[in-house]
Amino acid sequence: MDLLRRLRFREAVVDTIRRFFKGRGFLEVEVPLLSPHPIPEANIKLFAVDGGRERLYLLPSPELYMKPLLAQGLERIFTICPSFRQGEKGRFHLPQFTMLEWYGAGRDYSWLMEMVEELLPFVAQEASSMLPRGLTIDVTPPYPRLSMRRLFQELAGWDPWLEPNEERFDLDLVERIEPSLPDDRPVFLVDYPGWQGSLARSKPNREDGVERVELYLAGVELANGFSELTEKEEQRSRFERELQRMGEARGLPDRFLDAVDRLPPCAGMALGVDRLVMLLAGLGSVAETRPFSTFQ
Amino acid sequence: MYDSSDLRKGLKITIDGEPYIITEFQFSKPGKGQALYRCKLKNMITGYTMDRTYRSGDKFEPANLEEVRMQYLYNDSEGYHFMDLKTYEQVSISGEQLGEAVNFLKDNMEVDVLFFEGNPIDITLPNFVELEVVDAPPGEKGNTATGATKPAKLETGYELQVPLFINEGDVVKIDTRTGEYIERVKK
Repeated sequence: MDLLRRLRFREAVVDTIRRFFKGRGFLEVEVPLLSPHPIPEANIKLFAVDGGRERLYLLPSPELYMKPLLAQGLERIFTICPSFRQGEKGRFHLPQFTMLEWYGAGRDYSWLMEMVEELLPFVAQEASSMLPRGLTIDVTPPYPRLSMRRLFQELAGWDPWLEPNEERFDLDLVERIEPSLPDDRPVFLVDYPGWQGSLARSKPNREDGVERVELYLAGVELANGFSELTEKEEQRSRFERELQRMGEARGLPDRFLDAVDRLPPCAGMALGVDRLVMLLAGLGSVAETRPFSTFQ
Repeated sequence: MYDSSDLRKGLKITIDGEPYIITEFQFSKPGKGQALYRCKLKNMITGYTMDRTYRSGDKFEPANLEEVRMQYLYNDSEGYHFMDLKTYEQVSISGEQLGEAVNFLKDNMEVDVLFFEGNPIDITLPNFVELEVVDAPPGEKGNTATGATKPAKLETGYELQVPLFINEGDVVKIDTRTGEYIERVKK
């Protein structure tokens, strides 16, 4: 596909996503891309910006500003915005990429999975009409919901619920779990150990971990969602632990924590738009879905 | 020293004292996890390939490699001998190490010899070489459709498919990257 056709295709996918959410009563919101107090996440390196009196950070996802809107009573919101992560570059990564995030009040992560099972076929139908040879992936629902714990026990031979070993978890995920996922269909990885979802709500039985779901399509990680944690003190202590791990002198996002206190039960999901476009179009990298891939 | 963020396809690094080239590379960051750098690496001496996954903060020694223009002299039981045209210094490399390249080596041919920490490990041939045909039995009668070929043997012992009009004594041009016949140079 030449540049114009790739960009036309991308435009159609993004338009279709908007139509999907607006047709279901969601409000599209624009949120700031900068903040002095981002959510502490040890594995995400941020771009720091000179903000005059204070240092600002380009946000790695819109979550910081989306949840306070839920706390103010908005019930169904979505945004499609640029997100920034320093040092992430590869076939499936760019330091600036586009994120879709949506939230629903009074919902949990099973609702997120149902939404995905409606969203992907909706977008795929529009997309396939623009591809001379159609789609190479099959997004007919329902999608298998694989227990993360069982996957680890069967494919990696250990239980991350009993052994909080992050290095081993990531390595086995990449080397053993991901390669075993279907390469032409979506699949959900469901429920994570407690130490693997800093913003996710615990399962009814705390020892079962947290209500987190990851969507993989054609073996590529496409979206991450939680039943959101709504307890302020629990969230604060998880953030403090994360900051300690990072060893960085950065303040806690106090306003965000105040919002967590007022959150209704809710669920939210973040989906990589560039990856979705790439997989639908059968392209080899996320860079091919964008007019510019770097800052040069 | 390189660090993980320098890793990319084509980069040459030293692992356990041997030079490796990265033949496939993939940046990975599973879930909200740490950055992982997945590499397929080829040992530049043995040709053996392996998979390795590296993390942020890992360090790598660049492979100390150098290319020198040399002339091929001859081969014997010790291997294939090359001479530096400036210093007249001679080195030898085993046939096993050279692999397919021995099919295209002709006396006095100039090649680039690759050294790793002072030891010769490989050569880079010119893209095209001209070699004499030493055996080319006539093609089967009736099989004269355009593009028909027959087997032939070159002065280096290399055997390949050539057009039917090629005879013993002809000189042919070969693409060393594919090992295929390009054209007849002279009768």
